Parts: sequence; structure tokens; C-alpha cells
Amino acid sequence: MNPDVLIAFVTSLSVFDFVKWAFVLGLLVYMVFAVIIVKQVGIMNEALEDPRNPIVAFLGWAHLLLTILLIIVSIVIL
Amino acid sequence: MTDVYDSSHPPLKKNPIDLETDRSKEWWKQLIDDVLEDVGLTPGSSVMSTFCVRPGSHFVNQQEDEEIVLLLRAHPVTNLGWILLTLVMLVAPSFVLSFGILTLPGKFIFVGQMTWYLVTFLFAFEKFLMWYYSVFIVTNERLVDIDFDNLTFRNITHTNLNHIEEPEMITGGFVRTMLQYGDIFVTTASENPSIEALAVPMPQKVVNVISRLSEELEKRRERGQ
Repeated sequence: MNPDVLIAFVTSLSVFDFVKWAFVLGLLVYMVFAVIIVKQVGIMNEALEDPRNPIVAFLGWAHLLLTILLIIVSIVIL
Repeated sequence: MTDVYDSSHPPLKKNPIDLETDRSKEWWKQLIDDVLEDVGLTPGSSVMSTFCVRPGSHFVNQQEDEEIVLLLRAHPVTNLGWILLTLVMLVAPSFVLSFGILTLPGKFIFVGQMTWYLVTFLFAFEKFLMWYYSVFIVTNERLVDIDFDNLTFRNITHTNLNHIEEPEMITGGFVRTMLQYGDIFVTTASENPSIEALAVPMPQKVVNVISRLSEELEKRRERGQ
């Protein structure tokens, strides 16, 4: 790769571009936590069966989906 | 000569030995009924599902002849702290933005706000899970303490009712006395020195149920049943 092209690319990036990808990176890390929650809720639902367990599982999945949605929104609009 | 075999009698539905076996299989149900009646508890849930009597739920490693007598969670008032903090976190962005401190493009503010609300949801949800899944279970055979400490760590402790030494109840203070909740500590003769249920409703009744169940099991053991 020509170094001039790389330098031109880096210098063309604004502060907000860095902020955008920092946001996206942070949200990707956050998504790992969301996945852990879904997994943990599944394990705990097996440990203790209760009629309200599906509601809790739904909240865990909703949280994961909202996180993915926010990552997409961040990439698109920022 | 009279008939030796009279076919007019209806046949027995079950062999008497089988019936006796069935009754012996059900002895623990009668035991639970008697204990709950003595303590004055009826099946159902109260205090926002934190005090469930014979809930009909199941837990991991539950045995065939084992039934949940009590399923306890911490009193709902113990959640007040994180609920208030969640409410503060929910209004915080509006409060900060009203001062006009942030001079960022609108789209960054929007995504930042959404991220903040998501983190707030995660905070509240994790606290709820810690409360919801941290249960203390009294069955007709043992005590089970399931603790959901954080997102990646949980702890399940079992103690047989035959191994318990003495259940102890600690309550005090204005709020605990008014709302009738407290801590229960059960000393055991097993490897785990004690098993505990913290901030559970009606601790005196729980201790009573544990003591009576333990006594009844001890009596049966002495009788060799």
C-alpha cells in the first residue's frame, strides 16, 4: 500500500470519526455482556423453574437485540 | 358344597402390597400438610412472590420424592436502593442536556443517550436478576440456597435436614420489625458450617417450619422408617 494514500486517509479522518468507532467498539464489548446475560438467564431458568421465567428470558433477549440495533444505528448515522 | 371361588366379588383394583407402597410413597406429602397446618401456613405466595408456600416449582437436582415447601426471596423493600438509583439514572440525561453543557452534534447526543439508557437497563436488570434468582428453598428433605452473585458467578448450596443443628433467626431495627423480615442462619453438621437466608419475610415461621420438618424426619429415622 502506498504510504501517501494511508497518510491521506488518516489525515482526512475527523475527531468525530474516531469517536464514532470508539462508540462502536464500546458497544461491541457491551454486546458480549448482553450475550452473557442471555446465557446466564437460560442457565438459571434451568436451575429454578418458575412460571415467570419466560418473561425474564424475553427481557434478556430484548436487551441483546436492542444492543445490536444500537450498534447498527451507530454505524449508520454517526 | 359351597363354591371356593366366588366370581361375583369385584376384583381389587390394586394388590394390597402395592397400595401400602403407594401410601409409603406419599408419607412426605402428609408430613408437609401437617407441618404447614401446625405453623398456620396455606399454599400460595405472598409479599410479592417472596414468600411462596408449596409453589409447585422445580429446581435443579430435585429428587422424585422431594417437594418444595417454602421458596423464599429477599423482601421487596431490599430492592428500593437500586430502584431509586435507576430512576435517577433515567432522568440524568435530560437534566444534563437542559443545561446545554454538551456541544456535540445531535446524532452523537442521540446515540449517547440511547447507550446510557441501555446501560441503565442493564444495571436494573442485573440487580433484578440477582434478587429474582437468589432463592432459599426448604423442601421436605433439605435446604437449598441458590445465590446469584453477579453476571458470571452463582452458588448453589444443599444441606440435608438430617444434618442441621439449629436454625437461628435474627431480626431487628425499625424497618425490619415493621415489615417483618430478617435473616436466618442454619448451623449444619456437614462440610458447610452454615446456610443462610438474608432479609426473608416472616423468618420466625420459616424457622418453625425447618425445625418441625427436621424433628419429624428425625422421629421417622429413629423409628427406622
